[in-house]
Amino acid sequence: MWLIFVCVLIGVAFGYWFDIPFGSVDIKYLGLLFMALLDSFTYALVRDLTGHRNNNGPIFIRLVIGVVVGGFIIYFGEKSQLDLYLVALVPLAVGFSLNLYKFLPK
Amino acid sequence: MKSESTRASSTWQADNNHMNSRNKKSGRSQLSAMTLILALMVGIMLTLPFQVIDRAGSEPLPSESRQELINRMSKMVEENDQLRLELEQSRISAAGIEASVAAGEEASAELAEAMARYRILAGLDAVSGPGIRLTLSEEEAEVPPGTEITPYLIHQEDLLNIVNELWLAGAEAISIRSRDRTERLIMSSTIRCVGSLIDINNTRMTPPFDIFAIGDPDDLYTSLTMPRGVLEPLQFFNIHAEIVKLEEITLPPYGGTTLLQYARPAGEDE
Repeated sequence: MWLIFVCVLIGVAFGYWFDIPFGSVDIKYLGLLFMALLDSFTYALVRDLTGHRNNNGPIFIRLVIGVVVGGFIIYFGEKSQLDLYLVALVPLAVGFSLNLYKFLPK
Repeated sequence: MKSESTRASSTWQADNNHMNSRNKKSGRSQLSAMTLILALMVGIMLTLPFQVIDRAGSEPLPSESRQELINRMSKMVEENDQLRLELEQSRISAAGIEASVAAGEEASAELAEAMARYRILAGLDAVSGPGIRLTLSEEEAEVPPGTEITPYLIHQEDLLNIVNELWLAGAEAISIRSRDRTERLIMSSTIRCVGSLIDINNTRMTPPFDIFAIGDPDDLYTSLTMPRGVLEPLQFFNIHAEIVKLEEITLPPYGGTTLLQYARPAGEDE
């Protein structure tokens, strides 16, 4: 588990010292990406800790589906003059909550 | 339904038990590469608030709402009005100083007259004389289905064509009024579309427009109403033009700055 914290800290240091061009991406899509990352990350933890093998594929697929479906909802919502940002985040938030439910000790 | 939720609950519980028992047996879990990559990416994303704070003072954020931008623009317009007022007061005091200097040095009447003429040409003084008023307005039009509404609106090209025609017909001073704002046109004046508005001398204006021109009223009237003239195409798109000849009109001075940074009289050393 300590390896995860090390990775998070490395990520924070990397993002802090290097100028990641977040400003070029719409804040809605950044929010979506962050939520999708949290969902996939907790999903990955659940799978790893429950002893599943060959987890890379399912985790990657979950991340891609989360981003693509959410991005699709936001993009075409905007094209239709609809703000579906929160709607796009709901599936990811539900997934994140379920993952936490499985992950946290009862 | 109830049995399904019970089954799902028991599945999670089984997962949880399986996880706990496995952890107890092995004492450690195998982390997949994707988990570590995701942890790295989550860490990078956590720095987003720092970057947002860093940029907040220097450039507008994409997330800035429309209302915030409107508020900021209103504030800038107020500041602009205030600066224009200060500029006008400065000009008045400068004119007073010029007058006293001219009197003190007993400048010739010709010099004073020439100066007044140049000030009118530069648009720095209010000016009166005969001329015309052209009112341009967008009438409600029934746009045929499948047709763009753009031609039914007044654009920068329409105003530029009219102004060019007036200069060509001998207009000596021109100003454009929209609602409570009037802009005097000078040699550096700009007329351009900004979204649905028209920006004249950096002042946002909307139809209807009153274009005032000082000059021979008959010449100015004829130049605008001649066949195949600048106004003829507009009538096909329900843009209404009304011209009135006036015996006396007064145009305000130019409200912007006229500072020269690079241009200087030819042959003069720096």
